[in-house]
Amino acid sequence: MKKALLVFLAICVTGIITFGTTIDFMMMSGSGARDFINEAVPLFEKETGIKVNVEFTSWGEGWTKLMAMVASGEGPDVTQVGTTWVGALQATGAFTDLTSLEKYFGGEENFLGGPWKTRGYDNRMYAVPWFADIRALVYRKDLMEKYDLPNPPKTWGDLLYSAIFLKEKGEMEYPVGLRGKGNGHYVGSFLWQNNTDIISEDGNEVLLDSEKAFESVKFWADMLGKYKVMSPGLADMGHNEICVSFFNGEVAFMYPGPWFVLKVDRKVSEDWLKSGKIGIALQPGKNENLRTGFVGGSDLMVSVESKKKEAALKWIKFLTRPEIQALLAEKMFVAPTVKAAYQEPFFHQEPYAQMWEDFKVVGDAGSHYPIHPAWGAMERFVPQIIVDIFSSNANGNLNDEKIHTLLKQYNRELQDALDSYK
Amino acid sequence: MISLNARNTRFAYKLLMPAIILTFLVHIIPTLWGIYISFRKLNIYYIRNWTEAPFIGFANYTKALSSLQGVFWSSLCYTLIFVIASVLGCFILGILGAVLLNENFKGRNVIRGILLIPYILPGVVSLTNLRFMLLQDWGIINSILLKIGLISEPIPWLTGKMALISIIIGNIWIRWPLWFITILASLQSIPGELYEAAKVDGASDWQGFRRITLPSISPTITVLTVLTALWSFNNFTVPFILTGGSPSKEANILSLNIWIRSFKNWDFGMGAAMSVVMMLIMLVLILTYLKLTKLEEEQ
Repeated sequence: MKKALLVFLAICVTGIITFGTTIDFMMMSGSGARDFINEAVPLFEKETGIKVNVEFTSWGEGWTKLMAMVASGEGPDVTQVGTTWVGALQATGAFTDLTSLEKYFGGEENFLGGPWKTRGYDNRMYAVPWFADIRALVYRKDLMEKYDLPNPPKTWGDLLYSAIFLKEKGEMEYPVGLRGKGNGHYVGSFLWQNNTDIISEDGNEVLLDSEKAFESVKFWADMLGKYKVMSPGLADMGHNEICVSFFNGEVAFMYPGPWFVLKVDRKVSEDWLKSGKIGIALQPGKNENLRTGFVGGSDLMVSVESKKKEAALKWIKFLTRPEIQALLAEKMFVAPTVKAAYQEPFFHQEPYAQMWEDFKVVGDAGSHYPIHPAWGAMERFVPQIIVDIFSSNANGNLNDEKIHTLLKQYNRELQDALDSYK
Repeated sequence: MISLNARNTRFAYKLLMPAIILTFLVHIIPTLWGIYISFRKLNIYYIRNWTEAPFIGFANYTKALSSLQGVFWSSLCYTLIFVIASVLGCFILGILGAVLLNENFKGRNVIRGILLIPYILPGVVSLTNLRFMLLQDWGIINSILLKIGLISEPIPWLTGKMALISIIIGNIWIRWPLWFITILASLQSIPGELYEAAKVDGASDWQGFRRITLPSISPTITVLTVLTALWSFNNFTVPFILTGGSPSKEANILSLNIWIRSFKNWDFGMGAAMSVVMMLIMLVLILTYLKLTKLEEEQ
C-alpha cells in the first residue's frame, strides 16, 4: 500500500514538474511529416500539458546540425536520427544512456526484432526505435502474370530474366529502377543477397575486397552496362522520379519503402493496389535462400545536456504508442517499430492491408547495417560506390577490372575509417 | 596641439575598426583555429571534448597527400581544370558580350538586363534550375537535343567526365555577367576620339580592338581574372548543387572534397589539413599572378 502511494506520489510530482514545460524536438522533414506533427503534438499537449517545439530539417542538413549539437552541447531535447547514425552518435557521448529505461519503453518484447537491434551497440540502449523504413522489391505483378514470369522474382536470375523479357517485349526500355545517387542502402542489400556483408561479424574487417562482394556489385553493374535493363539516367534520379516512372509504366522493379504510394496521386496508387498491379516481396538473392530486404528507419535520442529529460522521455513514450505509430504510418507511410501497432485498424484497411502485411514480412527477414561507432564515418563512402559505377558506365570504362579497382579502393577507405575508432 | 593629419588618421582608424574586428573574428581566428586542428586527430569521437583530441603532428597532412588519400591529388587536378576553364569561359563571353552590347541598337538595354539575370538571382536558384535542365532522362536540354536530332542518346551531363563540364558551365553561367557588365563599364570610359584617330590613321577594327580596347580594359580584366580564379578555386555551391553532394571523381573538386571529409565523415583534422594545403596553393597562385602582372606593368 505504502509502495503504491509512493509511486502515485512520484507520478503526481513528475506530472506537476513537467506540466507547462516546453521541449524542443528535431524532426526530419518528409512526405507527411508536418501533417503528423500537426495532429500528434496537440494530442500530447492536451494530455500532458507539455509543449513541443518542433524544428524540421532535411536528412542532409540533419547530420550537420547534429554535429553542431554534439560540439556545442546546445540543441534539441529529443532528436530523430537515422538508425545507421546511432552507433556514431552513441560514441560521441552527447546522448543519454537509456539502458535503465528499457522497461519504461516496453522492452524487447514491445518492438520488432530488426529495429530493436538499432538501439545501440554493446547491449546499451541510447536510441528508441521509432519507425522502420523497409526497402522491399516492389514490382509489376500484372506483367509477371501476363507473361508467366517468376512471380515474385526470387533470384538474381529471375530478376534479370524478367527484366530482359519485358525489355524485349517492348513493355519498357529500362525495367529495373534502382536509385543511382545518394543512396548506399542498395550496396548493403546487394551484399546480403550474396551472403556477405560490408563489415565482418566481429566488426574489425571490411569485406568489400572479397569475391562475393565483387560478384554482387558486378551483377548490379551488368544490369546497367551489359544487359542495359537499368537506365544510365538513374544516376541523377531520386526515389520520387523512380516511383513516378513506375506508375508511368516505365519501370517494373524498384526497391522503395511503403511511402512509394505517396509519390503520386493517392487515387492512382490506390487504384493500382486494388487492381493487383503491384506486388511486394523480399528482394531477390543470388539464390532463393538469400532473399532479403533493407530495414532502416528512424530512432529517437535524448540529448545528454537536456534539462527536461522527464518531459523528453514522455514525448518518446507517446510517439511509440501503438495508436500514434498508426497515425504516423497513416501520414508518412512508414512501418511501425512497435508490434502492437500492427493491430490498429489502419493496417487492416483496404487497399493497404496486404501491402503492410508484405512489408512486415520483408522487415522481419531483412537486415540492417551494423550499429558500430565507426559506421557514421564509413557510411558516406558506401553510396559513392554506386556513383562511381554510374560514372564508369558514362565514361565507357565499366568492366571487371574497374569494379575490382573500385572495391579495393573503397575497402581501403572504409578500413581506414573503421580503424580510426581504435 | 593635434595636427589635422593626425586627427584624420585617427578618424580613419576609428572607421576601419569594425571591419578589422570583424575580419579577425570571421577570418583570422577561424583560420588560425583551422591550422591548429589540422595537427590534431579531431574526429567524431573527440568533437565533444575537442581539447582532448590527440596531437598527431603532420599525420593529417601526410595522409591527405599520401597514396591512400590519392583522391586529394586528382581533386586538385580537376580543381585547376575547373578554375582555368571557368576564367577562360568568363573572359571570352564577358568580352564578347560587352563589345556587342556596347554598340547602339534597339533593345540594347533590355538585353543587358536579361543577361544579368543569372548574376542577380541567388546562385542556389540559378543552379537548381540548371540541374533540372541537365537531368539525363528528364532534363529539357537532352529533350531538345534529341528532338532536333543533334544527339541520338541522352547525354549524362551530371555523371562521370561530363559532370566536370557541367560544373564549369554552371560556374561560367553565374559568373560571366559580372565580367560583361564590368568590362562594358570599362569600355564606355574609353574616349571615342581614340578610335576615330586610329581610323584616320588607317587602323582596322581588329587593330582598334587590339591596340586600344584591350590595353584600356586590361586592368579590369586582371582584377576579374584574379577574383574569378579565387572564387572558382574555393567554390562549393556550384559542384554541391549540380552533383547533389555526391560528385563523380571528375566533379569532386577540392572545396567539395574538404566539405565531404569534414562534415560528412566528421574528420575535422583531416579536413582542416586539406584546407591549409588548399590555402597555401591559393597563396602561391595569387602571389605568382600578382608578380607577373607587376612585371608586365613595369615593362
